[in-house]
Amino acid sequence: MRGFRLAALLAAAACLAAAPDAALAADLMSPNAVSSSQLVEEAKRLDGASISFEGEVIGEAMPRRDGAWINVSDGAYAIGVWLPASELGKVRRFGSYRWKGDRLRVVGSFNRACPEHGGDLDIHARSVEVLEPGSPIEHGVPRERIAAAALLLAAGSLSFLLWRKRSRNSDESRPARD
Amino acid sequence: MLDRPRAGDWKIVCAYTGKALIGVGALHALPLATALACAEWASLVDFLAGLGATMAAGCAMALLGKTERKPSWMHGMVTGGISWLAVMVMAAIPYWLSGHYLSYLDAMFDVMSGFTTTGLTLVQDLDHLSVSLNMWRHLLTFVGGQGVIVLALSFLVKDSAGGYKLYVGEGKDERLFPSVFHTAKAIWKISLVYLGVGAAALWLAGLSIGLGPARAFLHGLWIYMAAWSTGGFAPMSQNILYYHSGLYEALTLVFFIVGSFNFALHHAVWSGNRREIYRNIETVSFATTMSLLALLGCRGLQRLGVYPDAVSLFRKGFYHLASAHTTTGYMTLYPRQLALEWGDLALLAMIAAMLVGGSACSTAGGFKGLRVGIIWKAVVQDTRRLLKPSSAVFTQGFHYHGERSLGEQQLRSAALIVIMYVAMFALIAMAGTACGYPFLDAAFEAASVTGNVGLSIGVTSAAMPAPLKLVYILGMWAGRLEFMAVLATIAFVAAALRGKRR
Repeated sequence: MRGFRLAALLAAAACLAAAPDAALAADLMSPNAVSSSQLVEEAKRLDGASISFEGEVIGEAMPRRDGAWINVSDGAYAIGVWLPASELGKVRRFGSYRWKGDRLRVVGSFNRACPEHGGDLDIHARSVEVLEPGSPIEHGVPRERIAAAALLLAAGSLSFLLWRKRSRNSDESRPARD
Repeated sequence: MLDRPRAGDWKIVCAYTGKALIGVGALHALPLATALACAEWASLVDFLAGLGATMAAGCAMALLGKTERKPSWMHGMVTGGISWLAVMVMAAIPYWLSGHYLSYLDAMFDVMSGFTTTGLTLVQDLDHLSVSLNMWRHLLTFVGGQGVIVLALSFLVKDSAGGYKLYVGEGKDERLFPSVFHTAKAIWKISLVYLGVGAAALWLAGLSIGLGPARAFLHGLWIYMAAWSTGGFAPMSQNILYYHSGLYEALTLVFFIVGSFNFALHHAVWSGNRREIYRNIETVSFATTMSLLALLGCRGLQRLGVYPDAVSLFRKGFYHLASAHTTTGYMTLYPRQLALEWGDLALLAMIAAMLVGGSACSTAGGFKGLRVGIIWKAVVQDTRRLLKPSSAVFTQGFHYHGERSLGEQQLRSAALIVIMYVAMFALIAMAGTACGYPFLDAAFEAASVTGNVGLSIGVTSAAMPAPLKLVYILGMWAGRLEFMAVLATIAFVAAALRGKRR
């Protein structure tokens, strides 16, 4: 009976001791949706945590030997995401002047100062999901702006011609510079 | 009381400011060609408007100010000051029309930041900027590194004696050749040769890290332009962090260190005098302060355990200290990380590095290694004097493109400039604190503005108060022109408003 009590006590103590680790493990297993501002402002707290981050993929993919880099922006900051090569094929459209990039959900582990990548603040992605495909951005030019530009260009051209003419006239009556 | 400037004085300033504007108008050709090549029609219209307005303003000023009088030192200084303001107003047109700025003030802030090779930015949604607008941003910072007046001198100014006064008015006083025109052209030659080599190296590096050929070329060109001119602009919002590449960081580190050296040093090395690198007071001063501040900064980071290993410590700690010391402003961190993670010691090392800056007559800002070296030599001389009999005679020399002896006048002017830099740093830090920012953050940003660096701790944003934006614009302008031209401009305008008639 005493042995049973002792065993129960030890088991309870082990459970209590393991509780924070279990909570941490649960936190690591169920990704926590975060913004880029949280990643930068609360980097120390989130370091090593499993996170889920959503945003527009910008620029281009940069394939490297054992994976690829993409950069994902949620409007506040763009965050570097290190992807397994197998996940890269899901990303189709990258944000640029002409395109709004795919909106992605990235799930992975967050590093405040990644030892593998020279101390960069980054996410090592386990998976990437396209939430919304990219779309073209229209850059219309209002007619008024075209008219104003034409007027300014005409004024600039005329004044340039006049200045050149006056400069040439005065050059003819001056010795050459050294 | 100062004498009120005469109409003839205004005419001279007007004429040369007009020529600087014509030079900047001509620069629109490159982004225009880029917009055409990339079929960016909205940007094309914006640049045509900018070209027309700048040319019209420049030619009108050159015509109005047409005079046969030669510029005096005062005209050179005032032209230096006013032309940078005029260029800021006109070159902001394409920025503002692009819709990437919340106000015209923000657009002018970015032009001044580019031209002074500072690198702070208020642009919105940088990651969706057109190729041609990115070309304009980087072109402005590249030209700004050599100087707006150097640009005008190279192609538009024909009076040799007056040309030198304009050249000095822009904060440069080295003559690589007896003729100031040949000096201006040599500066361009040095910059363009390095541009070819540097852009090619970064293009190859870009290809090796996974960028496509066209983007690797454009990014290589732009990053080189901003590294050489110690400007710190980059085409993506993450700055150099975007590339996640040690190779890219290493190349930019080399380029911005080389860019922070005196044009006269480049010229000496090109002419076969390689020993000048090791003997020149500026390179010795730079190596000494860089080593001391890097040690101090890295010790601060190590003490707090900010980075997990030596490689990370080098890539973050040393890279940013070098970026600060050369007044480049390239970053592989988010600005807020500096405030939240780096700690006071590392930030103080960064502030000191930003204030010291690069070399005189280079693209760099700060109060310059030459002045630090001169003041240090004077301290050594005075200490020796204290320890020797009063009858002993001392001479203190230094090597700066030949052996020179330290004179009272040199020491006075070096000390004066350093005092003015420190006073301006204190005033800008006070302005930041008065606007509600923590003192250390305000001081960091003030050092970045004063030294034309461009590193940010998070204060500079479109949301900061407009008066602080104005203070920063004035700080970048005064820091780049090293005060004399700015003081002359203020005195000239004050005399026009209140001075007595001659």
